[in-house]
Amino acid sequence: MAEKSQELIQTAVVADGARLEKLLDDLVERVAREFAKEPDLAVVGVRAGGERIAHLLAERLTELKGAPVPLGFVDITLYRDDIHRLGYLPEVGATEIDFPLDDVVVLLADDVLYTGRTVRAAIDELIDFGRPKAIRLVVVAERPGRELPLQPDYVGLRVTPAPGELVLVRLDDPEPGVFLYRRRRVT
Amino acid sequence: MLKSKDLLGIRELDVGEIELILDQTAKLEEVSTRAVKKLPALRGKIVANLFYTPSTRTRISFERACKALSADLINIGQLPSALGETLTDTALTLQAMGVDIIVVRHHLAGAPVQLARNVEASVINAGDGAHEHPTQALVDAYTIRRARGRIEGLKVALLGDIRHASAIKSDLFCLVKLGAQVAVGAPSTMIPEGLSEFGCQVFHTVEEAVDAADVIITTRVSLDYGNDKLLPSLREYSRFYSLNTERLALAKPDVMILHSGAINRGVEVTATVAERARPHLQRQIAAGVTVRMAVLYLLAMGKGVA
Amino acid sequence: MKALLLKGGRVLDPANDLDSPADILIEKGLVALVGRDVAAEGAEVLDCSGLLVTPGLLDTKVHLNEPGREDRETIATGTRAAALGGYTAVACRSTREMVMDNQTVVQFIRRRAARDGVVRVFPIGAVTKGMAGKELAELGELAVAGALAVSDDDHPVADAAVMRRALIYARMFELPVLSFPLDPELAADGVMHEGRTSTELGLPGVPSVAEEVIAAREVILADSLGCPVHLSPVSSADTVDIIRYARERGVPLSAEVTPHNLLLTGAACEGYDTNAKVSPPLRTDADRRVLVGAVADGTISVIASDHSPCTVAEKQTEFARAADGIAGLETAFAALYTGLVLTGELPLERLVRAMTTAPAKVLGLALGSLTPGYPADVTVWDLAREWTVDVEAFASKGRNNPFHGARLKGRPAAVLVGGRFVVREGKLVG
Repeated sequence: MAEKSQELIQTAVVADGARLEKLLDDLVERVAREFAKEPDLAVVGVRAGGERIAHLLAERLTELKGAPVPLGFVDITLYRDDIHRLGYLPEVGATEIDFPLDDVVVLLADDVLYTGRTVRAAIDELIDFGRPKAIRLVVVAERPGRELPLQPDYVGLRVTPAPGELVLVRLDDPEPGVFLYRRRRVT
Repeated sequence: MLKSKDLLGIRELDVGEIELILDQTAKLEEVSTRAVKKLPALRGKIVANLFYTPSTRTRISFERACKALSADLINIGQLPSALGETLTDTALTLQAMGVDIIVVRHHLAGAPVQLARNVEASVINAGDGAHEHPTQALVDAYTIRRARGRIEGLKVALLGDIRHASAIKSDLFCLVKLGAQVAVGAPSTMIPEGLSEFGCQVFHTVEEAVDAADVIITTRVSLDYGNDKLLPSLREYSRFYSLNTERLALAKPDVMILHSGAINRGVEVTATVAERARPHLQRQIAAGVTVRMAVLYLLAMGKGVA
Repeated sequence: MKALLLKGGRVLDPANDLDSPADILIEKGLVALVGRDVAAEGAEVLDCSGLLVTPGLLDTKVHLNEPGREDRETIATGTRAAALGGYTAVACRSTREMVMDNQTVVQFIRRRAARDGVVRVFPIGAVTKGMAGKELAELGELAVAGALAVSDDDHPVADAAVMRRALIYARMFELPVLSFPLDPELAADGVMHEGRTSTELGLPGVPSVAEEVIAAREVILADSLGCPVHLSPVSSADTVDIIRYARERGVPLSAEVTPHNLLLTGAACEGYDTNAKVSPPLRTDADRRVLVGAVADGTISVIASDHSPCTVAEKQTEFARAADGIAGLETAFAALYTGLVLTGELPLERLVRAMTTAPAKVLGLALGSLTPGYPADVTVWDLAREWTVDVEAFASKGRNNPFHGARLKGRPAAVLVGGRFVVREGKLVG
């Protein structure tokens, strides 16, 4: 999420660093065991928030399968449905999918599922690469507020923020954790 | 973001804007490796290809770029000019049709500039007579940068009719802006007034121009341009100016050869040398689509800002 | 008609070397008396204190476009534009649609001018039939019909043999020949000055040599034949050298230059501004400065507006296709005054001379001065009056003028033709 000129004020700690680590381990373990037997499998992380969990999933699955599991990343900037409303030129990151997706089960990983628009964009982008056999959505945190009919298949943590509050999952950070924030009103 | 709503020439761009376009191109490159080589970024936008003079390569390149961005494309051929409709009238018609971006190619210099003044849509100059062909220069710059990692400090030789070929003129402006050392090699009748004031060296022999060159860009040469009988014969040009193996040997051993537009084997280059240019040709054509995608994307994004 | 006394103005009459406070008494449409403290009982008095009084301006190169292109201008609108520019007489040239190569057209224009014109209109006949540069027009008949001179206007007589013949023949009828110095082959399809800007814009250029080559030709012809030639107009510094060379040798050569070539350069074409598209083209600043110097020292004796109104459609098109021309009658004097006199580059006396007595001499007219006995063609100028050029407010139909939006100083407060007010209190009469 692009930071703008507003300040963010932390309102609550939903999970501290230790709890988050445990959460991630449990989630990865759950998903990996479920798909260890799947012959045609790939993991795709949504940039930038889904990168860490995608790495963890791919590693664990590779261990369990005894063979490398393809890992890719999608940058959804050019698929955003609000691209012409942003008012600024967004940074486009690199999409890297160096393997075929046809008839593959794709584990799509992201940090937070909220409105569903990011996942919608990611799915559209994946389908431009080929025809996956199935796409399963894995998210670290999920919160109410869906604007599209999309639901996660595997969730680490359900969060219920107050109206106007943001959920931030900080993974690779000096202070990791799951936090609630609100924007400080800039007059 | 680009500063103007239009892309009319390299002269109007600053170095930052040129680099923005090249960087954006790099980001879009991987799209062409996909099964479905498409992005929805320009969905719902209408692009008009307004080509007063034919140019199959440029037109197809823009068409592919539009389609890759999911934009709707209208191809307007030579129709308006044939019907005697004025440039201003065409502008107003396109405006009323809600066109977002107009790609214009015209044989009279300045036509895209004048069109851009009269429409709110973004106008891209796809070549206007002897004036400029900015997207082609960006394609060449991108191809060079991708192969060599940089443009600054490279020695680039431009060979051919720089008096009348808009693409090679834009190449000159672009490469000089990006810090290359540019040398032009052409017969004196093909060198327009005051060319050296644009930051290049001017030579009347190919040998001097390609000396120690890292890159050579050649352009198609024709005997006459309208009423301008520039050369006694193509044979004369071929004998003294054709890029052959001997002349090519004066450049650096790993010199990169690019062509601007179609090649006249035996005129601007010998068949042997033309083969040496082949590897870069593929890249150049692919880059042609991606650079134009970047330009369309950046111009479309510019309209979203108040 | 009551007598009229122009009282207390600064009278500048270069023909009579006069530049001092004076009164002018006008009786029966003629200049009666110029002097200090002139008393005139029963005369109407126009207070000219603080104002400049000059002979009415005279232009040798104006396109009135009637008959033939009334969409561009008519004698009525063109002469009104002239009056608002301080002119009391204009010499109108042929256009392609209206070639004055026969007496009928000349007579038509004289009649129409008498009916519709608010200032004097003098026809300039064509040198060749259809201005095609091949066969001589009936110069004798043109002279009798009232043509004051002959010119193929913007169509150069490329064939030297034809020009030679024209000079010899025209001299029999005492018709001055005005030559447009341009070699069509060298000019080719050029649409602006050939130089750095034309290269940048990708527009074909007209090299200066295209003018110099023909200017040199006319010098040699004038010299060898002893026939006078007037170059109409010039644009290049090297042409000035050629004129100087000629005059030093006593060759009967004279020349005129336009206000826009004295004030603007080819840079005005940037952005493909067709308002700056003229023939001969606007050249470099070096050329401009030499041209100004040539007017200052008399090498170039005449300033001509080359008023060429175009329709909006003719100008609002691709630069290469746009028509040439600037509709400059209403801005000529003010732009030159503001741009050259106030900056010190050109003395006011020289400016007025080049626009009054000098052009009158070229055309053999007893006009352009305040000599007693001459027709009372007078312009009273408010040089302090500052105004913004608004082409929409022009009396001319033409809107093509690159000075649009400029702040200029100097406007006619009054213009008299034959002692009658055509402009009064800065506005057209009637």
